[in-house]
Amino acid sequence: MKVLRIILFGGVFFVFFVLLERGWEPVPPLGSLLAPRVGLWEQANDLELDNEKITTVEGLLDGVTITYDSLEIPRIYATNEADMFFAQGYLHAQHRLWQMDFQARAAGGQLAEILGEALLEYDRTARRKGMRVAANHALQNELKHPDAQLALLQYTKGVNAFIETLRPKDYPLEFKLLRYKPTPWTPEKSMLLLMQMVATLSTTEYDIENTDFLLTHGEAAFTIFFPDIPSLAHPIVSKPGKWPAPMAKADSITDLWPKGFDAISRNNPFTEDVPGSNNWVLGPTRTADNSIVLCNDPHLGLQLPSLWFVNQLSQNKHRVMGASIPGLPGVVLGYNDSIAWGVTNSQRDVVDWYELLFKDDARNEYLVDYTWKKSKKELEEIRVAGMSSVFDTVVYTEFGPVVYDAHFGGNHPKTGLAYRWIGHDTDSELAAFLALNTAKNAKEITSALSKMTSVAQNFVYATTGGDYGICLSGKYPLRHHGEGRFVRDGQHSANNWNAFVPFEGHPKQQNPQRGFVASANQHHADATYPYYQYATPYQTYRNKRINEVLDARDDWTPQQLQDFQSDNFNTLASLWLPLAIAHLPDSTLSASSQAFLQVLKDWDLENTASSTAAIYFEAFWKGFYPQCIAHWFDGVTSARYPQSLTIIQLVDTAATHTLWDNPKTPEVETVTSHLHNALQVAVDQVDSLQAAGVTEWYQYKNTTLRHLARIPQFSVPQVAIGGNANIVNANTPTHGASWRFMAVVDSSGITGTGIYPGGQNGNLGSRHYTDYVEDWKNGLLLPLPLLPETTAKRRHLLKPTAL
Amino acid sequence: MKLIGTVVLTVIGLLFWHHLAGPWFGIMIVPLLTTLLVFPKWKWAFTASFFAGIVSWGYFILPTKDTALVAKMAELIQLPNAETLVFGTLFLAGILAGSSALFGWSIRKAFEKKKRAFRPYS
Repeated sequence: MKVLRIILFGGVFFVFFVLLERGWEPVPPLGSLLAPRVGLWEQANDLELDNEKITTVEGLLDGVTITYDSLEIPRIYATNEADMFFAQGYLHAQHRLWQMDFQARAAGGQLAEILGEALLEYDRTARRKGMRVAANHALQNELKHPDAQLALLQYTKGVNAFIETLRPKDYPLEFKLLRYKPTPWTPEKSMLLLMQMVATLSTTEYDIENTDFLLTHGEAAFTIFFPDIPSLAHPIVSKPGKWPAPMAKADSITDLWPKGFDAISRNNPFTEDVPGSNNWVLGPTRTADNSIVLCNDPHLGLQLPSLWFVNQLSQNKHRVMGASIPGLPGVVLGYNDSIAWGVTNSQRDVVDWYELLFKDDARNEYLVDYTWKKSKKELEEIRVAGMSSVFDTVVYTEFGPVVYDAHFGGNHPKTGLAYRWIGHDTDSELAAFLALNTAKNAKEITSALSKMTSVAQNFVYATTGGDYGICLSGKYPLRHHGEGRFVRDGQHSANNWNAFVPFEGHPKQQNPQRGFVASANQHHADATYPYYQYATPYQTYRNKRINEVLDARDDWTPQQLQDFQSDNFNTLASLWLPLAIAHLPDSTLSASSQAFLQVLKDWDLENTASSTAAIYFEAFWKGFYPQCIAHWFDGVTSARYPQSLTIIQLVDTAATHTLWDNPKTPEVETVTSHLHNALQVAVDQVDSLQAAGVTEWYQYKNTTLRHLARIPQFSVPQVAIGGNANIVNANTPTHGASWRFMAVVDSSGITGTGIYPGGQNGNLGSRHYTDYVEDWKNGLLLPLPLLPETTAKRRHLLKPTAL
Repeated sequence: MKLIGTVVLTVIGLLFWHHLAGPWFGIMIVPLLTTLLVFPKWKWAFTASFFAGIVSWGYFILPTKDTALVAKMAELIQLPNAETLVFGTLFLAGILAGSSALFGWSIRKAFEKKKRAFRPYS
């Protein structure tokens, strides 16, 4: 009886212990998660300062004061640069440690280690693209620059000083939920984050998809559907005939129009709904008070914790304020006492794929210029939660790492696709950003931008000296006309990137006669620009709208410009809707279709958050595009559809062409029949949506700030914000204005305002986790003044340990 | 007395354990040890530890009941609201403490020497 009793109660005890200690998928171990002092409750309360706090940390040279304003924006006051970057690292970790760790893992292909097998392919892709190699290469280059070296090493020390203060109970909640611990920060992790940002901005390309289409349908069809530059777009810089003489490209290439290709099917979904970024600077002749006004809203993935962290960095020599990336020292976007700056993505093509021929399936040698060359192999161990490690061998060649081969995505044992990406050439991006942080005039800005390699951006700037302008940063392979659109022939070294466009040849403009500069991811220069400019894809609608509206007046006020950042005018609709309606006379429509179209005829073309007509339009448009040309992609392994503007122009100019007909169906499809089908689909869809209570545009669009680990309960769904892709207020379901900024610049100084979707604190329990969202959706900007050190009540003093 | 002793000792033990930010299984070890030490009847062991578990966890957890994080966590675990998460956790703490106390009691009982019946000198 006694033994039975022990077995019974002991069994209950043991079962409880095992279940609560180990958890059961998908439930995490509830024991440690629910227990006081170690579990989730520790993150429930705001731990922000309410008065002065003093912390002694090892690694500082002198004391550092950090003050907080009511927006939880910290201002760092240090007596030297080393301490300033140390304090920034400490602050970033204090507010965003899990985010830093998670994003560095994502960049380096280490997510499966914490999230399991589902992330294995993602990790393999990152490893095979050589992200870690690129980060290490970048690190070695950055360490050659004293400023970057100091910033990176001190920043790293600051992060680690904070990590050392943590006990398990203090770990951000995500660590507890995902059952892992923070590991020491390293400069390599900072570089991984930089590489991830570079990859985000430079690796949207469709070379493989283009090749597939070309080989299926031929050159003529490709040229019709995929023009290099949308014809309606305004170039960023227009100065016909005034470009410097070009640098000639000596090599002749062999692969302008590829003849064959071992097609692969990769997960690279095409979407027209790309957001994009806007920036503009209005000179004194365009503003009511003759100031210079710089506006910028770079559009990226909408995430929580937010991508950006706002801080002021101050030390004896200089001070700078703006958006930083947790994990990287310095300020990426913002202003100092003399200059302000902002960016849009250049969209330029800085990725090529090279098809290689290996001697055998061991991939030790590949053929170049009729000679077998040795490849270099790196063995990658990918740790996977819940199972043993997976090993993958990545082959490196002079054309870059081989991503796709018979072991990953490919079919043929002797071929592979090498990935030539500008990220692998990264030189001194961080050093350049740090130089920008301290620049005092246009000359120093341009000098800083000239050092950038893989940050391919349209930088706008304004200075208290009265200059403003735009300049393209980055490094671009020198190409023959048409080069780089398809998978390339890796058997000839002449096809490799053997020369680059000199910085002097980059599109740039300062104080132009028209009184403003602007960019919105369109092509950079007019038709007389001597270098081949190609992207996949350049964009059209926003730059058209921005240039037309800004050009329409010369008395702009900051408030008007701030409002214009949230402009909801749908240029795409303004071009397509009249054409569509012309094909659908009332006599051919049912009563319900007529009523539907009447809503669109009465629409003001504004995608405001509360608009109902915007839902009608989107349902109609999505029913038409890309379905109207989907038959062209039936036999194509990887589809990239033509841009919408191309289709709209074909509707306008080639409505009777046979291209609209699907030869596999007995009917003869025309533009009109596609429109009728789209209209019927839209009528039915809108009826269903209205029955489900979806009557306002923001509900349909469902802009969501997604938690990085894709945990819905930690995300903010259905933000009531207007706009859409291709609209100035370019907020899609997943992307949007990750940072909105305005700087009013005159000789007396710079007034900076800005906002981003989210909040400063990455702790889910903090009131500053999402406190900017309401103002962000309403298009407001928050004051971001550069402040001198004051005796603010809420301040954190970091003291060095006694020597 | 043993009931009160068990409650007091368990609560003190658990609070001490939590203040050390120890691992979660203090809720299972402390009541077991307390029961071994005090050795109340099994009903008392369970009841005392049940409430001691609730009190000691409640001291830390209840103040967070109305926070946004707890509401989000409740949603994540698919519970109807934050109160359910908080009081559910406290109930779990009570059950864990109570069951471990029963285990402790059964161990002690196994080693208890059988009492001799009272037989007065004749």
